[in-house]
Amino acid sequence: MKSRSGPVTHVFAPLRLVPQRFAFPLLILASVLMLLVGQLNRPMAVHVRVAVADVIAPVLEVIHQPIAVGARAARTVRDTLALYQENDRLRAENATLMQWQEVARQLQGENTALRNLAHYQPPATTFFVTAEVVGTAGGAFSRSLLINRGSADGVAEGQAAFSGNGLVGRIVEVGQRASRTLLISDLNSRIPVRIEATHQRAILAGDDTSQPQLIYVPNRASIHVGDRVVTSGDGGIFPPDLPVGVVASTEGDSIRVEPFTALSQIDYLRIADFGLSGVLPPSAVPLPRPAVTKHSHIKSGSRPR
Amino acid sequence: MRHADGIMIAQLVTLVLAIVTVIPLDIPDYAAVTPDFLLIAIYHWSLYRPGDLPYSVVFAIALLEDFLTAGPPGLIELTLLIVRWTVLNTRRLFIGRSFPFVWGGFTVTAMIVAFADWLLASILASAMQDLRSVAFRAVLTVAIYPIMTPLFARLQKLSPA
Repeated sequence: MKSRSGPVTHVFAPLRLVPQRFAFPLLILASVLMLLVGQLNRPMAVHVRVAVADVIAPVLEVIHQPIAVGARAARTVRDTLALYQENDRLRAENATLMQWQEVARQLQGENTALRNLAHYQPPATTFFVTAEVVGTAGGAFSRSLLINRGSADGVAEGQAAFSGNGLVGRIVEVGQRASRTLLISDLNSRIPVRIEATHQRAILAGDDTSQPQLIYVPNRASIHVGDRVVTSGDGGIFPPDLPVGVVASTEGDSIRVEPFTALSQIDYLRIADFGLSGVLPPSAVPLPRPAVTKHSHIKSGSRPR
Repeated sequence: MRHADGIMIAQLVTLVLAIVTVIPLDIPDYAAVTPDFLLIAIYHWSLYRPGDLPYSVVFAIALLEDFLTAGPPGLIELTLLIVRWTVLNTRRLFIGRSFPFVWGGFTVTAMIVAFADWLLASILASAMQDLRSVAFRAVLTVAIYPIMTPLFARLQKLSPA
């Protein structure tokens, strides 16, 4: 600082402060404008965000590596300490599962026989992409994940995201190499579901808590804690019967669902394309390619007519 | 250390913190309550070395954070600019005071920021946002302030206050 206190700087110091003086009101104005434009023109905000995510995702991926290694090491230590109890638990579980396996075999045989009888056509093959979670929303107001796969890998808007044994969300923003998954717990997430056993339909609505709510339930009394919740297929976003979670509580006026996957601890996602495009604006739905290309030829050939 | 190096360190650390905010950690519900690292950095540098993080840099880094977190665009920029302005205009109260006093000032700032963010986000989404995770996030931010600021000071070879 000493070298700067000459007479010359005394003269120029106020001049240097001029941009600083105007910087504050100008930037405040810019922020307010962004708030307004972001609200009025959401597609533009999404467009810019995706472009930035494309650039940043590889950086995040690199930074995430050592953290993932550390987390894995911590998990190994934790698992080693709990080895004996875990072994006992697994033995008991294995015994139960062996019985289920027997049941499954019987059902599989029966199912094959019935399918043959009914000339059942299996649904069109789904394609899967596995993606690493490289970023979270890092804030209190949104529940979303940034993943390191984008349109270059076949990811498109509206596809379903799975982790472990359940649905965790859907793709809402797609870049070339990165995309954003809106979790089912987000305030903006609405998924048509049904209770597996009773076929009662409802909407699974996120509210930024770890357990989303069931809304628009016609008959509350018939829903019990422990009921499995699956997608209903209504609205054409997801196919029916994808596992989502179990009813965790029915107290008061809200019915809450515990997702099969802990939404806050997801490392990898599986992105599935079921070839459905319900509720998306027409512009977001890719047009069918002309049948001359080899790729689409095979695809259309394998689809049931 | 030269003055320019100190400025570079302050800006680089703040930039890294913006990215660190979105790095997923293997902690349950961490994403929702990730401490507001940027708030800590901007409060600290606006207080002790106001020239290091000018408004333009604050805005640029907030913009990056905005894109990364997918929140309402403009909200983080607005909040952090106002925080810097407020700190610059109340510096005189805090310079030379004991650490608990400065920390108290930060606590008040963090609480006001949390409440204002919650209010604006609720208005923009036209739905009440979850106040609990906002409050918890603010508490975590206040709690790690005494851990972060000595690190900033050490990185710049400064002693706070």
